[in-house]
Amino acid sequence: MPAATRPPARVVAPALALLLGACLEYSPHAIPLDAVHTDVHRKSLERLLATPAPETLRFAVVGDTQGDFDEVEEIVVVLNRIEDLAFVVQVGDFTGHGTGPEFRLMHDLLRKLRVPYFVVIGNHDLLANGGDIYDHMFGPRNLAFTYARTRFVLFDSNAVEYGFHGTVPDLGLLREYLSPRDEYDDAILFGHVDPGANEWDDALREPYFDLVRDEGVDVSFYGHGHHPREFERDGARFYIVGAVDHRTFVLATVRPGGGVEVERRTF
Amino acid sequence: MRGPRGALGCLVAVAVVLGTAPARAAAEPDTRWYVPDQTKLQLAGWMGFLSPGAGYSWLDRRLEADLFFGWVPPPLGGEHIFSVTGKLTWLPLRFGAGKEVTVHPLTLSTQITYTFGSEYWVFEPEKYPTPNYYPLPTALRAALAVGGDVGRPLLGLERVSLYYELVTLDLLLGYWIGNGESLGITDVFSLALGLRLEH
Repeated sequence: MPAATRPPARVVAPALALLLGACLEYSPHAIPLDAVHTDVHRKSLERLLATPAPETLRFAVVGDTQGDFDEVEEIVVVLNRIEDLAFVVQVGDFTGHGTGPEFRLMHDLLRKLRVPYFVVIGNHDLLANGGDIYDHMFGPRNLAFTYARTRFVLFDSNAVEYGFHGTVPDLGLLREYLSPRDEYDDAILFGHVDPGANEWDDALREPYFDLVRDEGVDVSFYGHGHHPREFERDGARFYIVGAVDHRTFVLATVRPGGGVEVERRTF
Repeated sequence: MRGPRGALGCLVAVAVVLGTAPARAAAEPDTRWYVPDQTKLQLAGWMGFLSPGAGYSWLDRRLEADLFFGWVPPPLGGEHIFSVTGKLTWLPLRFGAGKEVTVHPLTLSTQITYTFGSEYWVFEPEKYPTPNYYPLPTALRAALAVGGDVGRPLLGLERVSLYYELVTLDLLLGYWIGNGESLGITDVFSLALGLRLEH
């Protein structure tokens, strides 16, 4: 190549390094460190809270996605067509084995949502060093925020992975999150393992139902069970959303005066 | 896992021992059974950052078995990751035999990586409600690769070659087969580069 048309070394070398860096994989357990795959919840929350709260709030809840990349690609298209959707919550088992590439590829699909999204940590996500990857990619395993006079709490309920030592879910923290009562009209909880499952800490089952009743939580959503189902207890509704491979998700509407309508949709 | 300085020390020691094996053996014919037939240094390929390896070959160097030591430092992996990888490579075709430069246009390899650390297990811990609660061990990951190399005799060694591989992880290959719409070949295959010293 004539000297005049040769790209300068200061362009070629970094370009090659970038190309190589994109193609090189050091370990299935390497934590993705680039900005896109870091701090997703902080960014989602910033986006959401910067958006004026609507009169009627609508959000979607998506169940276990693990390994079902095709279905997730389809569900993103469907969710992007829904009018007035404020955000999406995926209720855990984001990955099948807690590995870096699984976290990365699934996030790459869900980032195509027009709206911010949040992920609850699931038991599969805690495998290997998946907990570390989740912490880096999304943020703390328990999270609460208020939007449109509704309190949203995402929490870690995967007691089985922690050896059932009585601190998962962290009921004290949940009570603390639900304490600013004048801030909200409705409270909605999101966990992965549902309180009926044997992966939930037996010692914390009745105390959790008591908490839901005492704090006036109307509705809560869970993953883990792949079949969609629901149950009621003391007037509160508990929804197991159902895995994406069952081609289902939940659309919830919070009415201005209070009250949450829950609709199941297929795609 | 023990501190990074200990690990780095181990890595350097292993690399020095393996790397100097051919030079130390060059004085006499290599009939000692324990001297590796080849030593390698590989960049990436799911087994570590820069992974030294050594192994033996059979069938006129058409089959190689290697053991690699892998380390990913925190700037690349977010945390220290230590592993060992057992790799089997089949090199069925060789061109340019008899001339200085030889090429393997197609190599196929399979490897299993064991990652060290209390968060990884081979045999499922007791804490789960049912046996085989999870389908796969978390400490072991397999990978498959296709590649090629080019090499020539150099510095008194029988052959020094540079190799490349396109490597896929067991999970990703499985996902790709089941999710052809959303996953592409670049999601599933990554690049590995390596140096092989044949003694």
